[in-house]
Amino acid sequence: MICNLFNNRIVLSLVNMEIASDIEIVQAVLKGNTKAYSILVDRYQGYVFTLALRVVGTREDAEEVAQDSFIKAYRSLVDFRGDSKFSTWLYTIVNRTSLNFIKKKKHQVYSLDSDGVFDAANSLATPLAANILEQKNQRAVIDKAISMLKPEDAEVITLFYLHEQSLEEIAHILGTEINAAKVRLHRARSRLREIMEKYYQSELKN
Amino acid sequence: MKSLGNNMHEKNDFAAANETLLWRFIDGVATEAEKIEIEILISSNLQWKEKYAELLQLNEILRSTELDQPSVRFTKNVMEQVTQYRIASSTSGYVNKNIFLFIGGLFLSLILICFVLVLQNINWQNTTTDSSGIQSPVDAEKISHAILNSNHIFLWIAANVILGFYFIGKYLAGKRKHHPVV
Repeated sequence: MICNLFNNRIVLSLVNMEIASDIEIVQAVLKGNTKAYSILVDRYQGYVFTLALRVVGTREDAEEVAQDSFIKAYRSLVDFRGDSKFSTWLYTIVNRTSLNFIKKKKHQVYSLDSDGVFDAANSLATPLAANILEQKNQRAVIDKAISMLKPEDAEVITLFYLHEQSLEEIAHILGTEINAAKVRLHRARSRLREIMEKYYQSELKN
Repeated sequence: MKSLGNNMHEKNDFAAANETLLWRFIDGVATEAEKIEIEILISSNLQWKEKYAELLQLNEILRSTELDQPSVRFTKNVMEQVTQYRIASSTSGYVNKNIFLFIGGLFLSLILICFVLVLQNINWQNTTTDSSGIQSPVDAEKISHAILNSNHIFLWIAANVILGFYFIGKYLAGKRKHHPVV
């Protein structure tokens, strides 16, 4: 009976937490309500996973990085003082974790700077040009194109467009100056256009 | 999408600086003067108009992309792992300001002792000539001898050694309290 009452109270408090702000949830977690952290995980798992995926390249690795990032965020939750948005603080952790992961794994990342990048892409099991014809899907094309960018370029595009972070916040996440973030975003978009241009040429040839 | 491809396929010598300006315009970070200038160029120059349409389309496609989702068990997996950890104490707590104050105090006291010894060994009445032939009331040899053989300095070193032992003992006692030997 007492146990049921206690469980009901937890469920009720979690329902209230669903509409609570990030900072309120963080305070609840710091006060000992560990379960409230699951609301933050639910709220940001898509963002964190997408950001990690754009940097590390595969779903399995992205899931590992995303999990690791949430655990790191939990462990250092006391350091979040609310000076920035919780998402900005969390993405800083995701950024560091992802970059450390690819450094450790020495992931093979296709980039415009590496020689024969397009040859490498064409040698994939399902060539991109064929994919474009098959899928006829804007999202798939963009996702493919972004996956061919350098991790830092893919990251800045994801932060700007999907996560709707301001340039100031992106600079904070990447640990650079605002002007450097602007340059990085511009460079990333130019490279993305180059990649798309290249593959539209392939499509036209086909 | 197809039109974007066709637009991209067209080769032009549109300068990178102009493209940057157009991105600033699309992102809404251009200044008022830049906005007016770009609006005029877009409405009057075909190349600018085409480029603007192309970048705008890319921008809209990028904005319309969706989030990828992890596996269904993701939150459960994270929460299972989270329960094994404790929230770490604040990083600001790692740094004990008293340590810096203590070290600063040691240096300050050493400088003070040396300063007093120097003042004590200056003969203001009789000026002596040093090795380079310059007359001065400061006899460097006498002062260095006084500092190196000073009882004050030895007392200072002894006090520091005792304090060092005291703090090491305190630190080890604290450690034993938190992690008792079984």
